[in-house]
Amino acid sequence: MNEPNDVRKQEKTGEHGLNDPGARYMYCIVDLGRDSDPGLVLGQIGLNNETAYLIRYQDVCAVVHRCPPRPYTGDQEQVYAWVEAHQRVNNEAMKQFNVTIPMTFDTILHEDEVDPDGVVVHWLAEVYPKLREKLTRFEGCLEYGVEVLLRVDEVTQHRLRHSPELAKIAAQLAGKPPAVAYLMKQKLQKAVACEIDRYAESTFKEFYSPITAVADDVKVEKPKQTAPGTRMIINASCLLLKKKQPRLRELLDELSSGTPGIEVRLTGPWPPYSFVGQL
Amino acid sequence: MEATTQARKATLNDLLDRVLNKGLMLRADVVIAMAGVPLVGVSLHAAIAGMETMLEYGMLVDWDEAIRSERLEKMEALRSGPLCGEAPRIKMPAAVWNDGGPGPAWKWGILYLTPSRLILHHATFDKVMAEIEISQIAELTRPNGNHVLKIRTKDADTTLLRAVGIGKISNLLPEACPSCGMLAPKEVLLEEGCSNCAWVSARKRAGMSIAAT
Repeated sequence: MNEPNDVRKQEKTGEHGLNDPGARYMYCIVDLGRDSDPGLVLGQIGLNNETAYLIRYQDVCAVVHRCPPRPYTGDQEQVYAWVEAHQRVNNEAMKQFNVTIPMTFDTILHEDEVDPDGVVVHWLAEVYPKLREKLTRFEGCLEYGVEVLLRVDEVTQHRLRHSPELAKIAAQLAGKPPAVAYLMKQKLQKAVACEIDRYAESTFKEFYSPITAVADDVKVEKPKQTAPGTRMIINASCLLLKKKQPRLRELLDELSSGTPGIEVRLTGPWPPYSFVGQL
Repeated sequence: MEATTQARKATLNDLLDRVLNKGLMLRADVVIAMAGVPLVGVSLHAAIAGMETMLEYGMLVDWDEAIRSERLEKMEALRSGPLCGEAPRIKMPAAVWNDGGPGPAWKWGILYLTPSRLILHHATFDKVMAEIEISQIAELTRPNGNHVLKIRTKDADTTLLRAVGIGKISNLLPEACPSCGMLAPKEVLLEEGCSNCAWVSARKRAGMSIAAT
């Protein structure tokens, strides 16, 4: 097992010692588990095709690349490419290791006049107990994004057919003079909006409790803006054991087929971005 | 239903939301941060939720850079100070008489005497309170008391400076020769006389040394 000092010494005499840019961009923390001989390099898959490699402290590794001590800033396209690369490295780490704790974008470690790999090792050593705790918590777990969308037109049609209240207003509308019809239409629109809200609320309840029953942890977030004509009613991240994923999928299929005008999007598996918090 | 990570189904938003907005955030000294300068990564904690926020993100980058360059300029300005690279011969606390504002008052700052200028500078507000080109000085008088120096420039502007030991300044400032009006350092005029018209001070003629007085 490498002690911090060993690694520092090792790195100073290493091949990159001379033209090292001075800092380390950190993608994630991985647990080596019983894997005593990890491949030390993940490949040239990092930001700007930098080589992502592992820095080890005891049984914990940080996945990093060498970078200058400056945050990455750029225009939209550039940031998108970087974000994809960040996720690419995390995906690779997830494939190779049992637990991956993803870092947020632009996490760069640096200390003046200290060997950058050494800085990472020292940081790992410092937070080791807390990291260990997190690694244990997320062992074998993956994150899935569940987004439930409501297709407004379809739900409107469905409610107009099935809600007695709306049907009554719609029936009154027929054969009225234009001025009265206009007011009735307004009333109908308001009633429809109300019905849709109610429908969204009941769908939320219908989905939420079975999902929490399957998942080990659920984080419900603010619904995102979606394409016109749809409305997001659930934006949740679910943490669940790998083997439970088919069950979640089945459950969502079942729920969405039983609820008209509803679309379910499942994304993942992600490393547990939404659950790792702060350190 | 297929779960996907890649951009096929998971939109850009899902990816951005997670990578920029979530993930482990470190509060450690070794994480890069320039004092007083927000980083993109950090400023983005403010939600990235939809395409609008993506646009906002673009704006945030600009904003971030604007703040950063402003800060760097300020730091640079503070480092170079009001002297613009000139080496001060004297640096002392001093005040300038201010007639304007809510009431007349002495305003204090740091007085620098460089080879070409007299500068009174307020360090905290990084503000130059008075600046006089030495070549523009027409007359120096000591109106009342030992601590006040009245400077009249060729444009007939007068400035009153006050400091303990202001004499140090006036001795170093050039003074007009009483005979021909050529400017020369006061000490030189008194000790050696005017190099232009051969005027000699009364003290010098009497064989007295300035140092002795």
